[in-house]
Amino acid sequence: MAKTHVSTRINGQDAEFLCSPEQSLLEVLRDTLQLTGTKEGCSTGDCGACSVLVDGTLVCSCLMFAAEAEGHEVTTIEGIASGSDLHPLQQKFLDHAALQCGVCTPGFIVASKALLDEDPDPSEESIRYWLAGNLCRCTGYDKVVRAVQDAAAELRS
Amino acid sequence: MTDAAEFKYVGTRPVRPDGVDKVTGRAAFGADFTLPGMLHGLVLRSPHAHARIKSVDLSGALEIEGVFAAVSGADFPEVEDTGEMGGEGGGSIKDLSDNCMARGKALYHGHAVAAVAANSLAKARAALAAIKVDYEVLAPVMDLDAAMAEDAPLINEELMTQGLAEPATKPSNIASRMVMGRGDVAKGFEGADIVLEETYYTPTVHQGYIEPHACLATVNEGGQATIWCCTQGPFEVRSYSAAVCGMSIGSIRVIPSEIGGGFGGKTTVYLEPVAIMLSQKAGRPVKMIMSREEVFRATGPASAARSTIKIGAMRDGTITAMSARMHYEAGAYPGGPVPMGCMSVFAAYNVPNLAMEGFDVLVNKPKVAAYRAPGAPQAMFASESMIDELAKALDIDPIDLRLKNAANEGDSAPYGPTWDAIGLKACLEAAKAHPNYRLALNEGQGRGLAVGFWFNIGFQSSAEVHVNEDGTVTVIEGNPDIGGSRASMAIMAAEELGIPYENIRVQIADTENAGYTMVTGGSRTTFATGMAVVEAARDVIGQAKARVAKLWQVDAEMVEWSDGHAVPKPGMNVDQKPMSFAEIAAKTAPSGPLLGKASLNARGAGPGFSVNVCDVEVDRRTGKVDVLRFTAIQDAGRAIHPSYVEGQLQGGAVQGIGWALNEEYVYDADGVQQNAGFLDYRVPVASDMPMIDTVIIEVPNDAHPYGVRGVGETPIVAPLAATANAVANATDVRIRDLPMSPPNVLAALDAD
Amino acid sequence: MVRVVLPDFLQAHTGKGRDIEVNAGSYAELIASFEREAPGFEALVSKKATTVIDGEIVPDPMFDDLREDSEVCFLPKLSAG
Repeated sequence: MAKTHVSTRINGQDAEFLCSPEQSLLEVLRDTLQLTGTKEGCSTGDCGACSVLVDGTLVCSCLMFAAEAEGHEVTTIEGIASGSDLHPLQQKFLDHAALQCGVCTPGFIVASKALLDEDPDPSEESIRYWLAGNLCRCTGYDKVVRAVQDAAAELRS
Repeated sequence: MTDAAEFKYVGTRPVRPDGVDKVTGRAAFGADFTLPGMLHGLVLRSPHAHARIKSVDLSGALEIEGVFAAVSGADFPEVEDTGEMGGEGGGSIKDLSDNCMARGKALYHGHAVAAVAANSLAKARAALAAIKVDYEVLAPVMDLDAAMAEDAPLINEELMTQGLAEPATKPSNIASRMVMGRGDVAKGFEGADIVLEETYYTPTVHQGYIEPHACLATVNEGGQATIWCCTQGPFEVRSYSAAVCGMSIGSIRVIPSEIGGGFGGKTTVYLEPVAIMLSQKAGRPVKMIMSREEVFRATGPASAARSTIKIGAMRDGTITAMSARMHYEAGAYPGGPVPMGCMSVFAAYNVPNLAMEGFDVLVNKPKVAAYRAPGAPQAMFASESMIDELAKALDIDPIDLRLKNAANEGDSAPYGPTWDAIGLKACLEAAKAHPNYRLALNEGQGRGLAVGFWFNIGFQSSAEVHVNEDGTVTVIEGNPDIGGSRASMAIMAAEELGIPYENIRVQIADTENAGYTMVTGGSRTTFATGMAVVEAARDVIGQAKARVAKLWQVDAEMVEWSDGHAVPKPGMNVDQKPMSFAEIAAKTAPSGPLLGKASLNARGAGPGFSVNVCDVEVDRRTGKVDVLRFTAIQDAGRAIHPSYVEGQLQGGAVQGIGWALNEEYVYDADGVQQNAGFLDYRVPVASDMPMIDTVIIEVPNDAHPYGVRGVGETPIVAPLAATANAVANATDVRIRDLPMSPPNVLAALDAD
Repeated sequence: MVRVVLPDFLQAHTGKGRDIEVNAGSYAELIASFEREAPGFEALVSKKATTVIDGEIVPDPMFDDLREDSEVCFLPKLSAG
């Protein structure tokens, strides 16, 4: 089957790739572009481990065809830190021990960034509902929510 | 035992050594490895819950261009049934092999019957579709009653029940029976003022780790295999794969990736032996990743269980006798967590007359795997619900009733041993004193409390401490870091060595670069491997002191280690300046590298007790239960990194609440799971939960240099009953069958 | 005398009750005395039991000395997650 040529921007850089029509953005990110920081937990849009931003909007990359990225700007976990500086969310997840196994963490950080970009001062309830699409089986969410609250406070200051 | 105040690093909360890699996407998990020329492997799974496999024809798959290998049960060596497996798991290697690839019969929907490797996933899928399997479909048995019925279809036609008073005369689906107890329960019930008896049920649930099983295997022409995989136990993957594939242990190297959760479910093998067989045939590396659906259908659920509890007590609350009759589903092969259920069910109480009886029952579901304190959540959901029912019947505060009967140091545990120092009473007192226990509740709200218990284990671990040329230190150990254990190892090493935490890097090595280390499980890592790290650190300090003594030309006992330096022992009149590791390493380089080692079999893992307090609100119109507040109190012996101890308590609480409120496998009449995805198998999400308050009790375990008790498993035990007791308190309706999902709660309220 | 607690399968194998007392100065002696009376005892223990001595799970008991008031419990083999 003929492959589709896709021109896009990923983490601030121009990127081009070839993909089959049925390939998901997640598959291309991980297998073609070797951006394995984005994780696959279910491939049905239920766990949020594959969360990325497309033009700033939070998306499950397992539910988006790779070809749909044409002309759009994709941000993955690899594009969250700037240079050698961690994003405040990344630092706060570390400070609060908001990860145990860490496999859901990239998705949580990307999803939380989308929240804070939209709402710099979310309530605990807003954070919990916004992150309801990201499953974590280790932490019970307590420290995750606190890390996001603390990162929001730092970003506001 | 050193006093906590003297610790410089133990009890602090530094950033974990592997943290930055895990928040930036660098950390490589099971599915993140690739090799040149790598093929993609997929498994063909049985579409029937119970069927005889009459033939498997792989030829159609092998004719497809780009398909390099296909295997079925016939390609795997026959494994001798040697009984128990090595390591800590139950069951036999023969069953493990059969579970990896079915021979003769498919025993559950999703059981592997063949596998292929091709140069693209699309071709691998086409190859699966080209395999022809001829099945004779058999009637499945999907629950305890069906399995134990007189005329039940037999899952294993040769299975004779072990442990009966009279030897079994014909095969059945009951693999074994176990009895335990002491005293005379009949007399105990006879002398009681009140006797209650009820039956409780917990459904089949899944560990629900977010990372599906994944591995990459390559076997060279000389028969040497290398496997990258996400596992709790690389050394177990090595020995199990060797046995299933008919290879020597020394020919297999297992390189553990970072692991995306396990909770016991990644202590066994599913894909690894299959990938080895495919790679061997194909002559290329083979990567295999399970889909979420495969994880649900073919990997370790936890046993459904039904338990009948009888309790007798005096009016003042003194319990005179307790009995439990428990049936655990094993899945398709023997090996449900019956022994742990029998031993844990009444572990919290000091009661003279006890009788526990447990049955291991086969059903056409996946072979059960360990899930955090295997067997105890089911058993203690029953016993701790019953204690609450007794408290209500006697009108005694549930904490006071438990305190009156609680096990103490010096009492005899129900399964035999005399308790050493345990934290049960301290946890109960802490619950009583906690402000959350006194908060007022509104109409429709309720409070419940329950105790949790787990044994914890020690066993084999190894560690090395390498001092680098500049005085920084590398710690090498063999337990995959599933919840921040690198941080705990670095803290203990820093404390021993007296050097900054930041100067220590902890490396999880593969099976050829770390000494044998048992699985990350059994709440053993910080206890046993931590003990090995401490011993290895002491070993390297000893070597450093000996070298300094030579330099100073004094006897070894005239040199002490203090705050990261070799110093003259006070009063020894040695006129020398303290020497750091960097100075010692530089000055004594000709003597060779400074390397401390330890390999041990850790004894004395102290048991863990917990108390959970749960507040709920029940919506009587919808049956929905909201958790308003949750307090998890647990004895950790000593918290090395308190944040990660709290994390275990919080995570276990939420898993237990999920088990109580929502999680269950739903099957149709043909034995096909109807909810094999996270949309329909609903684990708790962030918006379901409140903050989880924690209290860490520290009753040190004398067997560990810092007093550590395992903390990983106990947290999941108490939440089931704590939540059910809260619902009963809120509604005056006792629900004895989990989950307390909205339809089940509504039905219970309506029936009342 | 050392206090010994046997699980059901070792009670069945030895024909003894749950709680018994045995004269032994070491774990090795204790095992040898059971083995003499009920051959196969040691193999059963290593295959199916976890040994607890004086309240501690002991993975390598063979070199342990026992006191007059020691307590040796054989549990059904523990597994964990």
